[in-house]
Amino acid sequence: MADKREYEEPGQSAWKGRQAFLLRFSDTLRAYNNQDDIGKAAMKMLAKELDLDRCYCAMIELTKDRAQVMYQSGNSLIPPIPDTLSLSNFSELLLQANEGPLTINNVGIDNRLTAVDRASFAAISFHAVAACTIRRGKKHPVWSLVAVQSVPRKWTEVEIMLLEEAAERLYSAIENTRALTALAESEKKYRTLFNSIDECFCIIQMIFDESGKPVDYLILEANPALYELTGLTDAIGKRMRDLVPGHEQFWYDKYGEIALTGKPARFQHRADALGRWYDVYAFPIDKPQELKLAVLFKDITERKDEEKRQVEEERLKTYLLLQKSEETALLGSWEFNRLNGHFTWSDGMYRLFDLKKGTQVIPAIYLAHTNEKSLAKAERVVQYILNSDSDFEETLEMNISGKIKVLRIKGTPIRNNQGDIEHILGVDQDISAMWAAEDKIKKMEQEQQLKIFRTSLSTLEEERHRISESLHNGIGQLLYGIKINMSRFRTGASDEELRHNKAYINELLSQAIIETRRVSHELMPTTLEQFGLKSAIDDICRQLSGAIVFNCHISIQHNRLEKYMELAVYRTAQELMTNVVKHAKATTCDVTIIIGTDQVKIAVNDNGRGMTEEADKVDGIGLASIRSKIELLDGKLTIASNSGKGTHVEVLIPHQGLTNKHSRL
Amino acid sequence: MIRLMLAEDNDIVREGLSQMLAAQVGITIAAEAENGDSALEKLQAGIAVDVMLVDWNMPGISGVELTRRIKRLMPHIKVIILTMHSKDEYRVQAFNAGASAYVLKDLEVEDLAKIIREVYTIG
Repeated sequence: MADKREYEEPGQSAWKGRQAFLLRFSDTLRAYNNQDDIGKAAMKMLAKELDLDRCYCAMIELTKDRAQVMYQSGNSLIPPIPDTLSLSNFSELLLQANEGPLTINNVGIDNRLTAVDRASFAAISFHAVAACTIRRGKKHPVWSLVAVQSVPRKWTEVEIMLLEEAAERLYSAIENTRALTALAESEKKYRTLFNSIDECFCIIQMIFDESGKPVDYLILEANPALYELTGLTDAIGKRMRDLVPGHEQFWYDKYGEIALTGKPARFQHRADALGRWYDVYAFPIDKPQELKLAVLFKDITERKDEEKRQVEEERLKTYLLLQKSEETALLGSWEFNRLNGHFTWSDGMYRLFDLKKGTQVIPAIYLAHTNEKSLAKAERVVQYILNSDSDFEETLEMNISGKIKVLRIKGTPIRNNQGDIEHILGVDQDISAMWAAEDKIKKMEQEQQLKIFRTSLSTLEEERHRISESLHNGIGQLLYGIKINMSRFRTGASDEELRHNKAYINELLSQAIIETRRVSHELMPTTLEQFGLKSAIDDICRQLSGAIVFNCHISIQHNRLEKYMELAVYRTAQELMTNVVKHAKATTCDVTIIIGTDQVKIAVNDNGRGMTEEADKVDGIGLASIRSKIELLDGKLTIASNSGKGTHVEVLIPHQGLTNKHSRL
Repeated sequence: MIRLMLAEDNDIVREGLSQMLAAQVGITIAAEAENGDSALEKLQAGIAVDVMLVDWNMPGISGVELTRRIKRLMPHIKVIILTMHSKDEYRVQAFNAGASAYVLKDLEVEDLAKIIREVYTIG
């Protein structure tokens, strides 16, 4: 207390001196960028300037009832203040500092203090105290700057003003530094993130020419991934055109569009000049007129390559499949590019033309290999390939390596988006085998037709012959017999003779009428037409029964037959039975006709002389024509015969029994 | 008398001719045959015949064949072919086989008798 100093202010000049200190104070604090350094320097400067035994600043935390001493400076007269002070231990008077500057000139006599307060202060050598508090709002103290003297001291107004100002400047300096530190931390974090991400983030500025066409961009900023992902070096602040002269116009157009429209875009595209694929998200930043874009992109070349590899693999598989198919189907495919005149062949085409794979070919190759017969067609094919605007198809006979091949050539034009024909795609197929088969079938058909024609002709001839015979041997003979017998009516004949002759002539005429009816019936079996197969067969049996007894049995298991089939069964039975009458010298003949569900069986068994020659059994007497007719119906005729033991003829004819109407069987 | 054999398979015609020609002057029916085989058998059996009236169409040996065989075996026998066929080709065949006449089956019995007589006389 004895050293109590009277710090008299010399008025206006004293404040000026303090102001000079405050300028120095601020300058000093500004030099530090660390809040601890600032706090320590401030305490030191204040202690020195005001000649304090201790000066400290503490953060007030009312909610926690404590003050955290942040910085302090002083001499040994007052020991260092603990880092944390309990606010509840503070005297009421000291707490008033939270609401405004507080000065205690002499602790020992200040009656605002209690005896306890005084004793507490004395214990820590506090004899004079001045405190200024920084508040947020009116009642929220944030921290206090406290000046302490180990002896009583009369604090001047200038000193308190200086403390207040210093407290304010210190607080600002510290807060500012803290903010900057936080910002720097944040910036650091952002930078770390910015620099560590695998994707490239860059900011570019678009450059347009006078016509408004995007022509370049400036790389303003980018993370290190830019170099990793592009292979560029030292790109910041440089123009892309300078860095990569071959960079495609696509990129400038795309970024230009985003800059002008303000619409973000995500896309994938290959930068050929950089030899990579990119997945890009670009969006405008800052003011539109600045034409700046933030571009976030990553290298997807590997993925694309994999995709491409898979596509290639698929393509290869398809190609191999196509190759196999071409090989199997004797196919070849080709493409003609009308823009550059390239004629591209698949392996199958080279195989078809027996040429080494890769041999250069032109459409005129068709002319070179076509034989004389197909030359006009080959010329058409070439013209189609070169000029046609529609699908085409031709079949050419070609001479390839000394072999005749028949190729079917089909082509179709492929148009671009504008509708112009750019390509002609085509397929050639070796149809030689197919042609040969078709030719064979054609020949077989011709032969079959010839056979039908011959059979029809021979049947017709047989019919004519039979009619001729019937007329000649039947009706003709009868008429001649009548004519001869008419001579009986000579002059002078007795009445008895005349009556007898008349009766005889009448009988002959009746026979002639019957014969005429028989011939007529034979020509057209009306019974078949009117009463069906069973009646018609019965009729034949009745008519032919005489010297030979015909036993006819007709079994009908399927009551539907096509009309032609009914006629065929009728004629076959009739001819077989007539054969028996004419040639067999039999006394009985069993005729069995079975109309089955899918075939007709005709069996004619006689007890006649049988066939003596083997040849007869094959094409037995009168059987050749029956056999050929049966064969035309896909039927079969078999003969079993031994000399003197009769003949057994069996005919089987398949049928489908299709008529919709009820049969008259 | 001209000894005539009839070879005709049609009973009515054969019987009618037999009766009618038998009534003609200078003709006697030496034999009748219903087919060629029967005719040859009868000739070979020794029946004396001057003229044969042979039907063209018969079962077994045809009229032309029968003519050929008769002319080979017994060339003195004159053969007249009796037929319904009017075509020249038949006629040529008949003459080539050795027939003396070719007569259609539409002649009156009297005319037929006249031809038989001519054939027998002239040959």
